[in-house]
Amino acid sequence: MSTISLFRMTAPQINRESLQHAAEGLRLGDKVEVSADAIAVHDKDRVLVRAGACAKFAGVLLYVNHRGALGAIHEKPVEPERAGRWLGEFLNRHSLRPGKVDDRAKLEALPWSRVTDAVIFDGKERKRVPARTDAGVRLRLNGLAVSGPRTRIHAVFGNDELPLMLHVAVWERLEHYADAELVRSHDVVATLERSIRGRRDCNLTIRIKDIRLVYAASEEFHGSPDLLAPYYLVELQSPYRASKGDGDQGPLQLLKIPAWRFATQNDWPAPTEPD
Amino acid sequence: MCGPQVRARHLIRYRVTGVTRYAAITASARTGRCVLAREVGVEWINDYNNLNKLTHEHEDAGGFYDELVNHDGWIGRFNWGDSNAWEDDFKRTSKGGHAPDWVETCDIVYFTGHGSPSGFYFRSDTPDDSLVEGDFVSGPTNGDMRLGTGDLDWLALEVCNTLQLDATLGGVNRDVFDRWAEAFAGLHTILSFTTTSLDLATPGRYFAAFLDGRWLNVVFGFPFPVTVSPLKMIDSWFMMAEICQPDDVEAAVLYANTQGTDTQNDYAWGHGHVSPDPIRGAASWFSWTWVPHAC
Repeated sequence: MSTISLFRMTAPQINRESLQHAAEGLRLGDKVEVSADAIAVHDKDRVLVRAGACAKFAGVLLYVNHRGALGAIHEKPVEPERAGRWLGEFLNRHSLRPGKVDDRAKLEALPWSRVTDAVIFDGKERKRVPARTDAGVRLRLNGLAVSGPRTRIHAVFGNDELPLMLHVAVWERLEHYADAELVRSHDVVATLERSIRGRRDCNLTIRIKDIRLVYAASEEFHGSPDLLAPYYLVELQSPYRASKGDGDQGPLQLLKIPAWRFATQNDWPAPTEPD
Repeated sequence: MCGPQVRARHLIRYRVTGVTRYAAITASARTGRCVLAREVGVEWINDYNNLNKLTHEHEDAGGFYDELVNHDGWIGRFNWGDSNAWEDDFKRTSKGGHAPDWVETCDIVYFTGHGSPSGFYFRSDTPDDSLVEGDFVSGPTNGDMRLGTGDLDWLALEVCNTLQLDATLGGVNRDVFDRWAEAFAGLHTILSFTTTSLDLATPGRYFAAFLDGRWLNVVFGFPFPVTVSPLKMIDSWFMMAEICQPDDVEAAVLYANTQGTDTQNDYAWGHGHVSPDPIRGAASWFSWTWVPHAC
């Protein structure tokens, strides 16, 4: 039996001063809205907001520039190196990188940046054109990708160095929570096949197109413990009785399936007092 | 089998129409003619009889509908789910469909269920058939959709793979323009995904909240109204994907333009600029642009 670690994330507390400092770095106006669960700095065209540690997007920082357009073709998108450098400096300056991690967690942070192309069709020719620049930091925990909107660093740039969009979702602390049995991928596949083949009206063969083990949090925070846990992302080719020439690719489906289990209820960690 | 279903469905629609159709007539900035005010329709399917069942599509589409109707003053034209969601509502009349009676009565339509590069899927026991197909699926010009001849400006498809750039149909690569360009008959934008995406409850509500400028309340939970600028249509779609979906999921948009239009800068009606409709043949050029957004 293989085991795998589960971790508990603690999101950063709201800090008005540091958010206003970050807003200055984005040359953003100083209209501030504060609630128990979030703080936002905004002006006519732009918003920088950070969710509190108990909000559904616990700790997520989002910046949106309404003046730009994420879907537009930018004539001269910022060079990827420059975008990556700006993002790295911004994260460092405002302490927005992932916080302290447990000794049992080996964290890798892999910066990336690239130009994203659009394709234009004029009725005759397809033309691939640079549209914008994307930059970010991929996280890997104990060799597995960390995936999901609450553990993401991503920025989009247009023609200048100030981003059109910035999404930073990282923890302040990552602690070991428990070790559990790792559900084997072929057990997941077998269970999926059994459950789908058993369905009335739909006893066709299914195909697993892809199965990936990742660390992920729940899409939204629903209460402590806020786990960063292993999940399988399974791409399933749906069985389909084609009523017309449905091409070579039938509908696919993405499933997020927990990849851990505790052998007995007693294996669940005892509740701990909040810090 | 379909008889009672048809009658029941149209009776409901007739009643709803009677209440709302005269409630909000306004002048259209695009044409100067009197048209119905901002209207939204949604269709969703959880209970497929021909594909894997889904779980959250009623909440997903319902959230979009609720946000626009109950928080932004839109008129809700229809919210059809499962056996009441029909492929026929999207299909052009020349193929026997009734798009002018349904999706073309709305400014924006949101569908959520299964999708593929070939199109998006319905139950197999509802009119007309189970797939709104693109061109080249069953014939080079046999696509079901020719949209934008009525009110429809935006079609949001919260489904997998529909805007995948390249796809093999019948052994030949048919790219996103082969499959969907002919669907634009005044339509501004199709918003969808190039990859698979998770079946979640929240995308519709968040997309709508970015559109109407309530996203600080809806997404970030501010308990008091905070007025910020709404996002553009395309930005709202990309931000929805960004805050809902896992890494490597890729949203995308396909928009059309011609002389005098700038559909990439559209806001939802009532929240900013909306481009004139891009009409084919109205100028010397016409183009379609595909833009992806990887999460």
